[in-house]
Amino acid sequence: MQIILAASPMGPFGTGLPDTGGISAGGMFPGLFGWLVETQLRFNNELTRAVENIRHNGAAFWALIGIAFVYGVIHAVGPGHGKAVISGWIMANRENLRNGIMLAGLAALAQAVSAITLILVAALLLHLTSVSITKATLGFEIGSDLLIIGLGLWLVWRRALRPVLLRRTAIADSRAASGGLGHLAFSAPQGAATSLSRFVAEAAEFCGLDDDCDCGGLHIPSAAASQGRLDLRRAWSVMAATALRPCTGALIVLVFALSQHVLYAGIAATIAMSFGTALSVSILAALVVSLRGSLAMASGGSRSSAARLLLALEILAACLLPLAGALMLYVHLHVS
Amino acid sequence: MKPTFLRNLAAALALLGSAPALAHPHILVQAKTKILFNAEGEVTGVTHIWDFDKAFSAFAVQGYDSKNDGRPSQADLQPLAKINMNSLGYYKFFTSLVLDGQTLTPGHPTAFFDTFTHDTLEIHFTLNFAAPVAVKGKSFALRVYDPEYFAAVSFAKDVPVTLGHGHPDCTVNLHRPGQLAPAMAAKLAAIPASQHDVPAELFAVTNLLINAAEVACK
Repeated sequence: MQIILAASPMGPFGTGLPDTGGISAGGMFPGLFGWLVETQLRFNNELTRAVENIRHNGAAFWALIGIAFVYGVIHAVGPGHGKAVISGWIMANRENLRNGIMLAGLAALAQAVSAITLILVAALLLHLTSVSITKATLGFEIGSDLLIIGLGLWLVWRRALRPVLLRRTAIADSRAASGGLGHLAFSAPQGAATSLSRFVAEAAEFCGLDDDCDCGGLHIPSAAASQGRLDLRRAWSVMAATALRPCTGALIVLVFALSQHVLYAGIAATIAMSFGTALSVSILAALVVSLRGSLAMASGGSRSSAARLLLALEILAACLLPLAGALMLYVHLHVS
Repeated sequence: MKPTFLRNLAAALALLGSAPALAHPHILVQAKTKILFNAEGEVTGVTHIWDFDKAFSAFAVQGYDSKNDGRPSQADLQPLAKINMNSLGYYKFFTSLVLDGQTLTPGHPTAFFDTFTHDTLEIHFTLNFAAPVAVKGKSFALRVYDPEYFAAVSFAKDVPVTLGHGHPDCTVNLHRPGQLAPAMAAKLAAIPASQHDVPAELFAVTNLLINAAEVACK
C-alpha cells in the first residue's frame, strides 16, 4: 500500500491537475501496470487524432466515440477517489447490486456533465486561462474532499458509534434495573483482538434491539435484505463527491476540441468516456456487492465469524472514507 | 467461509492491485536536451526544449491568446512560462544527473520562454547545477522523466540529446521508456535503494518508465 503525495497540487506545469491523492496498492503488478500506461498513452494519441479527423471526415465521429468509450474503461482502472468513495459507500451502506451499478453509472455521467459545464462556462463563455480553470478544479476538488469526509463521518456514526452508544445506554439501563455490577466487557483486560471482535459483536447485537437501526434483524443483513431502492437523498452526496472533480483527461479533450472548432465532438467523446468509466466502476461495484453477499450468506447465524468479519469490514469501510478524504484534503491544501 | 467468498475477495484485491500508485499519464513530452560544458570540460547544466502533445498544448494555451485567435504570441505566453517553471521547480524540473552513485539536481532557470507553433506548445529553459560536475573519464546518466508519470517524457526522435561545446570526447546512449536495455536495467538495479527518487517497491515499475541518456566521457 502506498499513499500518493503529488509534489505540487497544481501539477508539474501549473496547469492540468494530476489525478493523484488517492491510496492504492501500487507496484504489485508491474507488467500489467506497464501495459496500462502504454495503452493509455496510445489512446490519448488516438483520441487526439480522431478529434482532428472529424473536421475533414464525418465518419470519424463514430471512431471517436468508440475510442473514447474504451479510453473510459481503461482510465477507470487506476487511481481515483470516485472508485474508493463508491465502493466504500456500497460496503458500509449495504447497497444491493442494482443500486451499486446505478450509483456508479450516475456518478460517471455526473462527472462528465461537470467537465462539460466547466469548459462551456470557463473556456467558451469567460475565456479564462487554463491556469484559472486548473485553480477552479482544485477548488472543486477540495469541496469534494470535504464531502467525502462528511459522508464518511456520517457512515461511521451510523455503523459504529451510534450502535455502541445505544449499547452503553442499554447496559446502563440494565444495570439500573438489576442493581448488579453488570457487564465488564469494555473494561476487562483482554487481548486487543478479542476486545475488538467482542466490541463489534456487541455493537451488532445491540442493533437488533433498536427499531430505528436498519441493520436488518441482527444484524447481519443477507444480500436480499440490503437496501431497496437507491435513496437519492443520501446518494446525491456520493455522486457530488465524485462529480465535483472533473477528470483532467475530459477537460483536455474538451479544450482541444474547442480549439479545433469541433466542440460537439469533445462533448460527445466526454459522454462516451463516462459510459466506459461507468462500466469499469460497475464491475468494481458488483464485486463489492457480491463480496458482501457471499459474506452474508456464509454468516448464516448472526454470531458466526463471517458475520463479525462482515460487520468489521463495514465499519472499516466507513472509517476509511473520512481518513481518505482528510488525506486528500491535506494534499490539495498543501500548496507548497 | 465458502470458496465463492474467497474467490470474490481475490478478484476484488486483484482489481485494486492493478491501480498503480502513480498518476494517469495525461501529457506527452518530447524532450530535446543539450548538455552544457565549461572550458574545463565539466558539466555546468542543460538546455531543454520540450514539445507537448497537441491536446495538452491546446489546453495549456487556452485563454492566453491576447487576440482571441487561438494563436498566442511568445509575449502572451510569458505568464504561462513563469507558472510552468514555478511548478516544475517542485518536481526538480524532472532532471537529474547520476554520477558515482550520487544524484544531482539543478537549480531554477534564469532564462525561459514558451512558444506555440503548429498546434504545439514548446517550453525552452536552461538549468544549471550548483557547481560544475567533473565527468572526464567517467560515465553518468542524465535522467529526464516524471516519477509520478503524469507527464510521459521521452527524448525526441530527431536530435534528442546533444553535447555542448567543450565536452571531453563523450558518447551518448539513449534509454527511452519501455525500452530499457538489460545492461541499463542491471546498472540501475545496482544503485542503492536510498538513492531512488521513488519507493523501492515501485522501482521495478519506474524502471520501465525512466527516460535517460547514458553519457560516457574519455
